[in-house]
This record gives sequence, C-alpha cells and structure tokens, in this order.
Amino acid sequence: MSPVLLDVSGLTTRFATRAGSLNAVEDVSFTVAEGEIVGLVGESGSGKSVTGFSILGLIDPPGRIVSGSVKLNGRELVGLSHAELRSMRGREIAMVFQDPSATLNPVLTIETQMRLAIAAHENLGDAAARARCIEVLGAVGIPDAARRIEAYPHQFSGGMRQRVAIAIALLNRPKLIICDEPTTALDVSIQAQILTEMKSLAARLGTAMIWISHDLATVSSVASRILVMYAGRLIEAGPMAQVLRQPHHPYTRGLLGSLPGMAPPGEDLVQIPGTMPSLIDLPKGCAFQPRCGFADAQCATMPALSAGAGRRVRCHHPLAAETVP
Amino acid sequence: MLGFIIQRVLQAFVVMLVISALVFTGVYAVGNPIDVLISPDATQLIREQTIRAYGLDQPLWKQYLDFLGRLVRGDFGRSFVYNMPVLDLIFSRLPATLELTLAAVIGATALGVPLGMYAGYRPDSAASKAIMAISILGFSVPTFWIGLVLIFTFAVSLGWLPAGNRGDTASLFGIQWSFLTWNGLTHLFLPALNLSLFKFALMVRLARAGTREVMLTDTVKFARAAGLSEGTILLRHVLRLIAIPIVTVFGLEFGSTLAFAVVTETIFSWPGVGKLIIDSISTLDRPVMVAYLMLVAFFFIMINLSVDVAYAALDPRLRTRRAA
Amino acid sequence: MTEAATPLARFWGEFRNNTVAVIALGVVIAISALAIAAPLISPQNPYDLANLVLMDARRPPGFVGSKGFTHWLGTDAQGRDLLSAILYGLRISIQIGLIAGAIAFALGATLGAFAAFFGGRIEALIMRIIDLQLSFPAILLALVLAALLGQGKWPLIAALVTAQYAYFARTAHGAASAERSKDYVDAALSTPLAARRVVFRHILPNCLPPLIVVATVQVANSIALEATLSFLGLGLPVTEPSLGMLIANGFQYMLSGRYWISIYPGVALIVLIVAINLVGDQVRDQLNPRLKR
Repeated sequence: MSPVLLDVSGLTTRFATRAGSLNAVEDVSFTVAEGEIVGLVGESGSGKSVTGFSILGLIDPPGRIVSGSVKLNGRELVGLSHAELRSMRGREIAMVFQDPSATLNPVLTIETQMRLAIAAHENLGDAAARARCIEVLGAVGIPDAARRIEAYPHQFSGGMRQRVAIAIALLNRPKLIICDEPTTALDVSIQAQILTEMKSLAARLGTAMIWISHDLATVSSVASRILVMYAGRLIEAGPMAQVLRQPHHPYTRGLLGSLPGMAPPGEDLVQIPGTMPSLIDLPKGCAFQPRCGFADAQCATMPALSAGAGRRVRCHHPLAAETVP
Repeated sequence: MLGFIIQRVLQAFVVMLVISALVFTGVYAVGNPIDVLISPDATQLIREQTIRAYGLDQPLWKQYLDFLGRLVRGDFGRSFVYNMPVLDLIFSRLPATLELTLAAVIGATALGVPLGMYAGYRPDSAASKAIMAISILGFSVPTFWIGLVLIFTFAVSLGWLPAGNRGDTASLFGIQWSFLTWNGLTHLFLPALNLSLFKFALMVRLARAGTREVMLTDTVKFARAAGLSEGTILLRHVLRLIAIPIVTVFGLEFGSTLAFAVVTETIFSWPGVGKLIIDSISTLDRPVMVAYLMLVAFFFIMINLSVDVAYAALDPRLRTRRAA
Repeated sequence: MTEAATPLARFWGEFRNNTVAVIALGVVIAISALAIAAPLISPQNPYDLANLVLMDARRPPGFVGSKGFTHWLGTDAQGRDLLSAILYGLRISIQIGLIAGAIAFALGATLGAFAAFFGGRIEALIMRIIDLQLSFPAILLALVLAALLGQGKWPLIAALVTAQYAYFARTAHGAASAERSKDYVDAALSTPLAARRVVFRHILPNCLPPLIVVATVQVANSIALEATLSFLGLGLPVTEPSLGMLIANGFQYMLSGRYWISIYPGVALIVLIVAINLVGDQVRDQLNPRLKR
C-alpha cells in the first residue's frame, strides 16, 4: 500500500452560534494514501464539507478547530500560522467547489484568475506562467486553451467552467485535491464525463483526492474507499466495493436501499424515515437511533468506531450479511 | 455597442429638448426682470427700447422659439446683470467649480473606498465602528454647517487655512487652476473637504456593504483555497467585484456634487458657477439661470451615458450581451 | 419565543434591543416636545420685534440682558435670545419637514401605486418622468423652485415636496409592482370592487414598510434641505428665522469669533437630524426582509 499522505485524527470543529455551540465535525479520523481517491458521503449538515474546510484551515469564526490533528506527510497543519496555512493551500492541498459559476470571478479573465493562483506561490515570468496555464487547461480537456484563456467565465458552459476551476486547483501541482460536490451543479451527462476525466487525471498525476458528495452513486464511481458521515461523526469506513456489497451501518444500508441500481435487484427502493436531527439538539447516544429500525436501549450510549485499518463502523448492532430490518 | 450609444444619444437629445421647454417656461413664468434691467427713474422710451432689445414684448412661445433658434447657433443670450454673453460668463466660472468638484469626488473615493472595504472586511473591529460613525455623521450633518465648522476651526480659531476665495492660480491649457500653486491648494483644501464629506460617507457605505457581501461568496473561498493572500483577494477580486456600483455612484454623484457645490461655493466665496447661479437667482438674471440649468441637465445626461458605457467596460457579461 | 400580541408591540420588542436607536428615539421625542412647548417655555418670543433689544445684540452665552434674564446661549445680531430662537426655529423646521414629508408621501405613494396598478403606457410615462427627476439633484430643483415661487412657508413646502415626492413614487412603484403580481390582488380584482379601492385597500397597505423607511429618511432630509435653502436666503422670511437662517445670519459674525450665533442652532439641527437618521436606520433594518435572521 502507498504511504500515508494525509492523516486526520480526532478532528473536532465547533461553531459557537447564538443558539449554543455545536460540533459540526466531531472526533473524525481517517487517512488518505498518496494517489488514493477517498469518497466522503453524507447528507447536507453531516459535516462533510466542514471536514474539508478544516483540513485546509479555512474555518471562519464563529467556527474553530477545537481538537484533533491534521497531518500532511507527517507535518501537523492544525495550529499553523495564517501565513503558513496560506502557503500550504493550493500548493499542497487544493479544493474544488460545487458551483463553478459562483467560485470563478465573473469580472476577471480566466488567465488573470489562474495567474493570481500561480503568483500566490511562485514567481514565474509572464511567458512561463501563461504557458503553465495553457498546459493545465489543456490537461483538463479545454479545447483551444491558448485562445480561450483570455475569455471570461460566462463565456464557458457549466461543464467547461468546472474544468477551469479544476485547472486552477491543479495549477500548483498539489498532492491532494478536496473536491466538494464538484459535479452536483452539472448536467448528468457532463457529470459522468468529468468524473471519468478527473479519475484518470488523478491517476496520471498521482494526485490524491477526497471526493465529498451526498450522492453515493457518484462517489462509488470514482473512489476506491468510502467514509460515511452522519451528524458530524464518521459512522462507517471501508473499501468501496466491500461497503457497497455489505454495509455494516443501518444508515449506510438505508442510503444504498434508496438508490436505484444500488439496492438489491427485485427489492423496492426504500427511504430512510425521518430527517437528520439538528446538531444543536442531538439525541443521546447514537445520532441515528431515532430513525433506526434496530435501535434499542443500548443505543442511548454513543457507540465507538470499531478499530482497524480496513472496515470500521460506529454501531452497537452492525449488520451481518443477511440481516433484514 | 455603437447602436446602443446612438440610441442613448437620441434619447438624450429628446430629454434635453423637454428640459429646455420646462426650464424656459418655469424661469420665465415668474418674476419681472425689467425691474432688474432698468433703473426705476429711466424714461418710458428707454424702458420700451430695452424691453424690445431683449425681446420681452413677444409672447412666451415666440420667445422660446427665438431662444431655441439662438441655442442652435450656440448663443444662450446675454446676462442682464453682467451684460456679457451667458456662455462666456459660465465658462469663465466653470473651471473653478470643476476643480472643486473633482477634488471632492476623487478625494472622497480615494479615501472612502479603502476605508469602507476595511470596515466591510473587519466589521466588528473598533476602527470599523469609528469609520461607520464618521460616515453616519457625514450623511446626516448638512453640508453648509460642516462648512461653517471647518471655517471656524481651521480658518478662524487655528488660522491654518484661508477661509475663502481661490487664492493664486496658474495657467494650464489657457485656463486658471488653483491646484497648481501652493497658495491655491491651501484655498482649495477646505471647500473640497467640505464638499467631499457626504460623498465620503456614501462611498464608505457602498464599499462596506459590497465587501461584506462579496467576502461571503464562494469566489473568495475558492481564492483562499488556492492560497491567495487576503491582500490579493481584496485588491484583485473584491475591488473588481464592488467596482460596478461604485462607478455608477461615482458618476451620478459627480453630477449632484456639481449641483451641491452651490452651497459650498457660497460659504467659501468660491467663484464658481454655483455662486453665479445663487447670485443670478437673487437678481432674476434669467438667461444665466436658464443656461445654467440646461448645462447641468446636459452634464447629467452625459454622465448617465458614460456610466452606462463604463458598466459595459467593467462587466464583461454585459459587454457580450450587448454585442450579441 | 412568545409571539407578541400586536405587530406594533412586536416591532417595539425588536426595536428595544438597539440601545442607540432607543436613545435616538428619546431625543427625537424630547426635541419635538420642546419645539411644541416653545411658546410656553422660551424666555422670549423671538418673532416679536418689539421684544428685541438691539443693545443686547451679539452677546456671548451667559450674558444677562437688559430684560433681566440670562441668555444662556447668547443673542444674535438683532438681540434675539438664541435659546428662544432655537426652540422656535426647531418648531418651524419640524413643522415644515413633517408637512412636506406627508404631502410628498401621499402624492408619491399614490402616483407610484397607480402607475404599478395600471401598467402599460401610463406606467411607462409616469415612471419615465420620475426617473428623469430622480436623476436631477433635489437640491437644485428645490433651489430653483424656491427662487421662482418666492419666500414663505408654502412656496418652501412646495419646493420640498417637488424635490422629494419622486423617491416615494419610485419606492411605492417598486413595492406595488411586486404586490400587483401576487394572486390575492387578482382575487380582489375578480370581486366587484372598484379598481381604486383595490389600490387603497389592498396594494398600498402592503407597500407601507418600504415607504415608512423612505419617509423617516426624507423627513430628516427635508429638515436639512429646508435649513440649506434658508441658509442660502431662499427659505422663510427674515422676520421668522428658521434654524438655517439663524445659522446663515450668524455666519458673518463667526469670522470675528462670535461662534455661538451659528454653532448652537447648528448643533440643535444636527442632533435632530442625526437622531432621526439613527431611528430610521433601525426601522430600515427591522423592515428589510433581506436582513432578517
């Protein structure tokens, strides 16, 4: 197995709101190996995006990382100064967001935006910087990059715009890219295209990725390993194929059961009853317990995440292969 | 783009025509300028001659048509009071007003935008609160009173700066300017400061509101995630994004500042067109009033036009939409 | 949280949280009360020329005049007690600001609402004129009108209304157009109600919040504008000086160090305007749905 690139352990990020403080991310631990693509799945509010921002040190007040560590190649990132974090961002870990029409600046040319990203880390000459931009734009599949580089974001289609955003993330050859729902805002046909391209791009460049999404189907097609979050905690982790074939956590199973093409053939699609509880007002013990068909008195205490490098699950009643709710 | 400009120019022409009619009837409907023109003890003959000479015996519509006819030839008539062509009179005063207005608007923008951006970037800091307090004052306190306080403080009590007039001027392009001499600059400072305070307050508010909004967008998050420094983000991303409303207001405010200069010029005895119009109102010098109002209207229309063009330059989305 | 009984009580409950705004409101009320009670509490009737003693003119604050009372704020060039003149001046300023604001409100709101209601050519024409007027600086418009109509209270109010009704019209038009497109207006129109009643009973009340915000700002603006016009000599007659004219009259003496004739009326004016604006800011924040959390 490739050496560990990113080691997150015990990460807890707390937001102090007027209604009280809440842990958007609580005690999250996982690793990402070099060149590996890890999927991070959860509903909105599960803490998956905050996890991504925490790794980058981009948590704005009233939020802050209260405990845990984030190590990149063995170097601790939590507690670094603003300047150190800034020089790490984009150069070692980059991020791509959901909606490219919101992330790209509408009033600056693509070239200006790319050159600013290069200039943040490296003092390249005009010609060299431009050449790098054109090269990376070509790599993400933008035709006629040398000419298109002078265009503005609105002159690109949605898919092309997201390619530009990905190119900006790739500019400084980071070892890890955090992709926060990068295909959610795109047409389904373009989603598939970008997924495949990013997967092969990552393989070619040896870039590791954390692919954050609420959509299990998308994640399953790019990632080799999966992390499932619920109400701020990691509840299940393991190699993609194993988790899909045999989920241990009732929530993961519920997610799979609600997906066309993922549920066992012949069975009806089922919806998980209820909604995720508010982080301010979490039930005692397992946060999934109110929606869980297996819940009993034991679930009023928080289950621990089972240890182990392979499969991990946070449940008192992990599902065996043939258990039916 | 060209079609758009032509259309707007035509529109502007119609508006000017309407305004000229309104201004003309408005100004001519009230007051009797003959009392101003002729001394009470003039003979009846001189009275009638004067009335005829100025065309005041004609019906209003005829006077208006005559006025339009002369206007086409660039003739705004003669001032009753100064007995010289109105256009010459106004243009002799215009540089003083332009100089004052430009100094005020540029100063307000150069100071107000960075301070406003800071207040929007760190809304909770003590400095930001101080900036906002000053801007509330600048909004509320009438310009004329600030002018008085400035004169009292800096001219009367401290004696640092002169209280009125333009001071020494130097010639550039055949026009006299105050800002070219040190003495002129000291004369320019207080009136420009006075005139700029309201604009400053406005710029602070605009820049602050814009910055606050932009700082929360994904554009800024994405730039941060790419490792851009906060300074670069503010200067290259945020400033460009908030520039559009600021340029609009800059343009519009330039026009209204030109008009508001009336007050400042009166207080500081600044010999510009604002002082001229106040004097002409009190002496019922109709041709000057009409010409001034037409000129201001013209300025306004030109400014609106250039703001629209500047929009297109600043917002590439608009540019292509219009070109298409 | 418990729901307050009436919208007004709820509004006040929220308003109370902003200490600055509450103090400002207190100041506005106190100044208004002083202005209303001016004839009862001021030491002198400043508009009664027979009452003025020229010998007492331009005396500094604290001077005991020949009439035997202390001029706490000094006297002006005619020997007026400044405190009395300020109280009476506030009275005039507030009166004119409120009357001009109310007329501009009624005129502008009706015009804007009708334009939005009827749509088509009428709307285009009305709004075109209003936009044109809005692009013209209010001060200039008021200046010319005040000059043309001559001195006096009503010409001044007419000038202020002309300068300001367009803001109300634009606001009412914006709110009413949004309101017009809602289903309940169509529902009201499908009943045999007269169109006029639909405007007054249904559309206008729903445009009230933005109009109230404009109104607070505009009352403060009319007071400032009135003072500015009076300062330029285009306002009220000299015999009944408003705050602006008091300041203007004191201006020439300021250069010789007699600051009080201009400064104290100015302070009164500014405290009033700043207080109204602070209240207005809070009202705007409360009525602006975009800032609601």
